[in-house]
Amino acid sequence: MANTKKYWKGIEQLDDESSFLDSNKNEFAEQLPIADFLGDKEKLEDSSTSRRDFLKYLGFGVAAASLAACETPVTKAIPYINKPEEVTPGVANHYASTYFDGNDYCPVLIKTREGRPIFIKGNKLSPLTKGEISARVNASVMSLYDNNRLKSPMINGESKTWAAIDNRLGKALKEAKNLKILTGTVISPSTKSIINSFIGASTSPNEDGNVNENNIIQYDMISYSGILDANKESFNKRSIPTYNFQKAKVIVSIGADFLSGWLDSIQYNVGYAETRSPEKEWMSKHFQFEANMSLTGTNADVRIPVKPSDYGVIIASLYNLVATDLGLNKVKVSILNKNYIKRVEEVAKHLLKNKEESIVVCSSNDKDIQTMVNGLNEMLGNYNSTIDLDKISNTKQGDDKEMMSLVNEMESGNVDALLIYGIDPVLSFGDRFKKALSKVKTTVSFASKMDETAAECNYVCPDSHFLESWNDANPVLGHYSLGQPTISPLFDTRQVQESLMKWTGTEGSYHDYIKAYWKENVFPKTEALLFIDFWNLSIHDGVVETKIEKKALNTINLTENVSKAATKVANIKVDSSAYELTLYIKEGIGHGVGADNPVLQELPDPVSKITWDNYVTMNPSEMKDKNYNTIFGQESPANLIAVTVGDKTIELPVIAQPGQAKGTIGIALGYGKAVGKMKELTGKNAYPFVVRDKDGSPLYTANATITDLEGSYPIAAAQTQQTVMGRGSIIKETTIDVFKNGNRDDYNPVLTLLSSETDEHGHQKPKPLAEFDLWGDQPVKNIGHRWGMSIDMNLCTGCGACVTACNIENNVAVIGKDEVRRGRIMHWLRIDRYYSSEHQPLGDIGSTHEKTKEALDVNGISAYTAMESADTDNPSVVHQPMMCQHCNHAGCETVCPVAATTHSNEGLNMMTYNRCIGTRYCANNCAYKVRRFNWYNYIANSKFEDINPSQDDIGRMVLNPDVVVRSRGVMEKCSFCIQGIQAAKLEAKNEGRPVRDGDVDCACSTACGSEAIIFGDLNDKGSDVRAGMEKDRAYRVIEEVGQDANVYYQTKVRNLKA
Amino acid sequence: MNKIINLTKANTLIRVSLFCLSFLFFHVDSFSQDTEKGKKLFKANCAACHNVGAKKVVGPGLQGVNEKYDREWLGKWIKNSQALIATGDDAANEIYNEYNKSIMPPQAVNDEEIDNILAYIANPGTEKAKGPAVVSGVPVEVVEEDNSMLMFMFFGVIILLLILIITLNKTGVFVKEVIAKDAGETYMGPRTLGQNLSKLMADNKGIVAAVVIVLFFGGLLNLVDGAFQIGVHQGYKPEQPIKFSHKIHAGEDQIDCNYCHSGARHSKSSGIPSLNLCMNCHTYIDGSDGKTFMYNGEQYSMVEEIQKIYDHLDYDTETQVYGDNPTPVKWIKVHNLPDHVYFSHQQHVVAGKQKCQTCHGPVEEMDVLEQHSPLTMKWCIDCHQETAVATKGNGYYDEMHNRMTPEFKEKVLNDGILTVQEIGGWECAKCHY
Repeated sequence: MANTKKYWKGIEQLDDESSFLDSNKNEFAEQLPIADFLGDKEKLEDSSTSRRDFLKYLGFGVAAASLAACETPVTKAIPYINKPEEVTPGVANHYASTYFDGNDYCPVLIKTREGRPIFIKGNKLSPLTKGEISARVNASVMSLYDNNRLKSPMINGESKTWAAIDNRLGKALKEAKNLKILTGTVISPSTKSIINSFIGASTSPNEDGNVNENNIIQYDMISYSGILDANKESFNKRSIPTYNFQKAKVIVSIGADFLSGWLDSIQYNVGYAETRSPEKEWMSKHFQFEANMSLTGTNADVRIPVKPSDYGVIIASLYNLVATDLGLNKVKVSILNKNYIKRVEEVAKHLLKNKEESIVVCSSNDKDIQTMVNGLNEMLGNYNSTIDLDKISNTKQGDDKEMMSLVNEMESGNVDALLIYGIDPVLSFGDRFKKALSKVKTTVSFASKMDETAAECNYVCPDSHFLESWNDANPVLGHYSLGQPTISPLFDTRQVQESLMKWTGTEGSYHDYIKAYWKENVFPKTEALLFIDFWNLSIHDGVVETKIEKKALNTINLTENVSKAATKVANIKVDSSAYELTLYIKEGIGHGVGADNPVLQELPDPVSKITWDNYVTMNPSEMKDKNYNTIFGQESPANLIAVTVGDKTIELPVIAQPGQAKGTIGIALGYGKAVGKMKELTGKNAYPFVVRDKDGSPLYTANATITDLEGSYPIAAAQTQQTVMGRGSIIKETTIDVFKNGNRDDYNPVLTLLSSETDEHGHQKPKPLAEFDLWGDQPVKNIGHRWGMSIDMNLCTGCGACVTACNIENNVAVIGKDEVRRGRIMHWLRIDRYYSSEHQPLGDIGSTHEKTKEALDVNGISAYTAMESADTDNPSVVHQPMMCQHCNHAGCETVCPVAATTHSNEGLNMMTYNRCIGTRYCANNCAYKVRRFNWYNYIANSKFEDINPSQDDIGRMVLNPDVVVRSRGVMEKCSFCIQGIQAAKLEAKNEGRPVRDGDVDCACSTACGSEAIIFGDLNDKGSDVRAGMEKDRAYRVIEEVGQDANVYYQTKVRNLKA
Repeated sequence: MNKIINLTKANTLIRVSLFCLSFLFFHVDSFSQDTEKGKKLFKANCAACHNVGAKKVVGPGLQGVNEKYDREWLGKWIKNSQALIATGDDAANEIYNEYNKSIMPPQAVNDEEIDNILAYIANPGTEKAKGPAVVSGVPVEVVEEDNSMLMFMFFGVIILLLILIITLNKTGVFVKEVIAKDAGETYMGPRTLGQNLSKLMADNKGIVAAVVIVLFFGGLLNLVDGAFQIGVHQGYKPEQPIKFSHKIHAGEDQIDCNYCHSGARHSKSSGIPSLNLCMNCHTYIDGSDGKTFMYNGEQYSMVEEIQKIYDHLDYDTETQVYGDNPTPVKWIKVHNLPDHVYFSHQQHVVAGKQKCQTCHGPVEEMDVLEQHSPLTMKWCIDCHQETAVATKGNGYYDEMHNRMTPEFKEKVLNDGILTVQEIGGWECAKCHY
């Protein structure tokens, strides 16, 4: 069973494109331009360099080189004048802090070296995130060293001193009669208090004599007012509940990408992972209805592609099915697409079977649909078990109605002064806000970069980076955390809080303010005895938990409201002729925070694997009907199309996305910013497509029309240039039923080969693979350390946090779109995403199961062709992190002519850059294609001046001083973060104890809060990684090649019937 | 010296033929008995806070104290200043208030000892005297090299030899001409030195060929040898911006290396001490006693060099206040490892239990610090091959030994020691990543 499944990496492989096949015979898809250079005889003869000249230059070069070698420039060593007590040069310090960008909250640990923050990892002490982190958070250290940050405050575009700002702006603010402050969601209680006192001091109080909070407007770049308003109506709480995915045996998501970007996705990742181990008592069953192929959708057990206009119908149908079973009233529902009926019934059955242990979430920002979701969850008894309305999340507080009335007020010219903090409304709200802003006399932006809003403001008072600032946060009721600066401000910036305090006339620093605030408001809620101890511990740990009260659930007319909402939803007319567009946010870019970060731009999208662009995703079969190119690769650019929503048109390339619901397209938000020194913008801003109703509440779905355009657009995809065609032993997967039967041979048989020995019938006897070996046993298997990894494909969601962590820890070069397009991406760790076609989970509608099987009887490539008609519409997906497997019998080691790559007695495949002469034999002979070659000196070559952050003095500060920066012409690859291994061993030796399990962590395993990647010593009998190796699910990728890898993968188990 | 100059062979030859001049200086004491005792007592009890001159340290400078106060008052003050202040003594209270009410602790000295101390203060003796290099009374050897003189003599000899050869040649030709004349013939043979030489060579082709071959291969060997020395700076000995003498600090004062280079135990980098660490001692030791010391063969005044620390720190010795404009000292790095080598001091000093001197040489004897070892990879791995790992009593190695198979144990332990190489000290990625 496991061996009959076929995997394919991209459409082109599935399509049997002959050009693709040809190019994939070669390791590097593009020929070297030797022929261009030497083939043209005339050109050669014309060239001004004669042989004599060449010899002259050669002779001069040798002489110059020897002269230069004799005299070495003097190196200076400059010690501290007054060394801080806690800093020892060469030793890293870690500080607990807090990340919040208006969307994601994450408690973090900052690694600093000689006072420079260089790495961010999750804070394991946090009960919310338990050490989980996302790519955006760990790459945010790059944004600290972004040379495009504002370097001083500005008035009307001119740099000014803070004194000048305070003077002029102070007067302007005093003169303002109607002053407003517009912020993103503020989760810092002390900042809220500062804003309150600022407004209190600057504006007149309301009727009750209190601070007029109408002057404080919160607005989220990505709105969740649908859920917030629905909760206000259903439970009288305008807030987001805590979703306890860890308690949910059945997870139903309708469009919600809760593992990547939807609400508090970092927290949900942890909870979700807890339910996904098949070894545990139970494993959750995850249904996903969605239009775009989202990261969450790729992880679902059952994914059903549906149009976004059907979300309401599906929820109403589910509601009715559940209500009928429970003997409750049904609601009005329009006709459900017959394709989905059986699946919806299946989902309803599972939900009813797991009452109080299920969870239903939906991405829609329509209040009515969210009200129905509330009704459904309430009926299922999920509140106070999987959904906690007491422990409310504060990370989304934006109110689109308030924002709308602010815009109206601005347009009428009644607003005198507007301060904007933490958001870029000109980008996300669009031209209407820009026009309204021009009618405000005094406009102040606190943006740290010249974003679209800051460009329109009179005063720009740049905020310091979060790594330079004090802060606190109250992300979830009863959970506080602190942020502390880990470096002095690099530029002449000032924290927003300090600015507001200055203008209010509050004495002291913001640090003092937080401390006082905590003493008064947080400390009393804890059981700590002495404030100073509590404060010190809080700074050290970064997080504090306080007790909260449990309250009974208080629903208000929920059934009635659901019924009303359902009627409204059922009456919405659907235009079936247009394409339904879903705007989504990408794991790397978010709502725009990552758009100017080169590391995040180069992080391949977890699903499409495309870097440096946003694009229109479309179902491949529909693209074929329209004669669009469904292949994206180095040699095959994408078609350009114009997408029109209302009166807005954007030109974008169109990309084939298997699993995209037919009749729908998707575009990522947040793009359209300049990266580094690049003049061109990366991607296109899709916020203009956000449709707002009259209350200002935005919908992220719209009807769109598309028109073909002339010309093509090159696409830089990180996957497709390396193929592993048709080898069944790369991915192993099974279903929970088969796994629970407990017979390993059914899903992960021990590989055998036919031996020379024969049985009584003269047949060759099969023998386990381990008995065939060209080299004999590697001594490391029994002696000393044997470093290895265990990767659980059930827990890996493919989010990519490990990739960015690896890039930053190991100084992996950013090379830009053009080079990625050539298949030269430098990532040491990639996540391979494989689509598989065979699965027909419920064995119903349009089953191509038999057809597929039939097709598989055909040998060779035509088998894949036959599969095409089946499942580009709804493939299942596997994510497989792939890095150097540190083979004990490595192919690369035997072919290196200069022994630059060798094996250590701890099982590591070592790469010695200074020995490497760049033959690239090792890359050719690597079975896993994980070796990356430095085609350029990326940190010095002028071609990468605009893109590579290490090319400027500030950007270079993030480089890890423990890892060499590689130069041109050498091979590089994953080292298992050997700097960490060496450090942990040394610490153990110094303390005279063995290395403990958990002492050594790679950057990738540190970044993986779901513990999909476990690193450790395979020779340590008590280690987690050893336990992983000994699991029945454990196998090694293409084990039959006999390379004897040290990385073990766990067979993927889907929660499906056999 | 801003560049490292590789010595040419000729230069080396000259150096080998150097002779040294040595001068011995003896420091002679000529104090009376009680000042000598007083000096010792002063150093033991008073020097931490007082200077024998007029300079304030923690307490006032004691120059002229005998004239200012009478002997009886001084005795009371020294034995118990607080008691004296409590009596309401004007002079005592004046000093007490002047020094911000910092208490001078009671000193356990008897009257005779006080007399000795006071005598010493009255006559601190020749310590102020300028003179030849005197460092704590230890004879110092001063080495001087006179390169120019030697070069002059060397070239002189060569020129003399040349003149000699030319003269001999002329004489030879003259003699041969005379002989030919006597025989009634005309001399047709070579006349000039050049002609003579070519004849000599033409007559002895075998020898010339041998010499050429020897020279060629000798040159080649020399070239290869030289190439191996590229980037090797053994003996690199730059003069530092502050003439800091390791000989005085590590040698004579026997300050532990780790006191200043504390990073060696905690970090990959041993660290260069920051200026605040210098001030732990140099708040009190300011060199105002006029001592001098030898550095790179030249004599320097301590007070001037120590003043450089104060200048960098913007420290006013009179008011003992640090200014706002401190500047760092830009030391010249002596030991430069290439960037692609990861070297950890902690690994070698703590886990490996190596002495600093193993690599850095007799630092305690160097006034100018020099690179003692070649710092080549050969040098590293040679040591890794011979050196035994400090396994004894270390739980880490106990566990590693438990994981050894008997055959492996036999293989690596047959010579009785476990070398660094045997546990992987020759593997590339132990130092290169």
